[in-house]
Amino acid sequence: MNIRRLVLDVDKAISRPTILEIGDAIENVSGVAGFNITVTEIDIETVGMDITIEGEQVDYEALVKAIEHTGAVVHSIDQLVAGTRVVERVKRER
Amino acid sequence: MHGIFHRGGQIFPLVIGVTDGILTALTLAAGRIFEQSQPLTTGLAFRISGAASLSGVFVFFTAEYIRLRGELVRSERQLNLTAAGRLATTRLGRAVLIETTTSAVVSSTCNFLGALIPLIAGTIVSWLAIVVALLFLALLGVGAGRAIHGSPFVWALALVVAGGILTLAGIKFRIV
Repeated sequence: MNIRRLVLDVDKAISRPTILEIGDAIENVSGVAGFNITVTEIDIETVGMDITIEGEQVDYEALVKAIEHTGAVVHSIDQLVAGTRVVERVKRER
Repeated sequence: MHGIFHRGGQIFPLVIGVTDGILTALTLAAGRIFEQSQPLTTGLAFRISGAASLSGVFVFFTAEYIRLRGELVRSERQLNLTAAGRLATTRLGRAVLIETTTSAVVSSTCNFLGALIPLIAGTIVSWLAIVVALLFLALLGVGAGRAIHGSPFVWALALVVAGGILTLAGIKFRIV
């Protein structure tokens, strides 16, 4: 499957790893062309982030391994876009 | 002084190293400093500083490593990780070990110098060791007070009083 975009729900402890360390790990994964890390929640001891990754033939297993190797935790995939072209989400209407 | 306390995030090992070095030197050598017949020698100053530094490095490494690994365990709970010790197998485990080792080296060096400088001064004029040690403690107190936005005077006074108490203890015990 040609993964083109992934939106991941990722958590980390407040003090470490830094967001730059997570970004550095993502950048080195095969197929990643660009990414966005947005902090969505700051708790007393944890930071919640949405990480959006775009590219061609993104290696999902390597990506999760790279993120978790920094000490962050991937909780879920919130969006997956794959195929020969990017298909945006279409909101259902009645 | 203010800059030193914030540089490189090494305030904790620096303060603990210097304070421990000075206070250990005062405790061990105070008896000898006031001994007219056997004044302080350079060799003794180095031996006391070496002993203070060596014991300090093991104490610091053990305490700091346990503290940082404990932080990882707490983070695992906060992140709802089911497998214990999982974060220690990531880069964080290595980062904690490197950070502890670096801090232990900084602390040990500061410990050695903190003990050595007053004692070397004491080889020139014996009472100078006490004056230099208390002066260092006062400066350290001023720096620490400023760094944490507390009262530099109170910090300096507290450290000088601690130095005085341990000097009296050292005179009483006559360890070397």
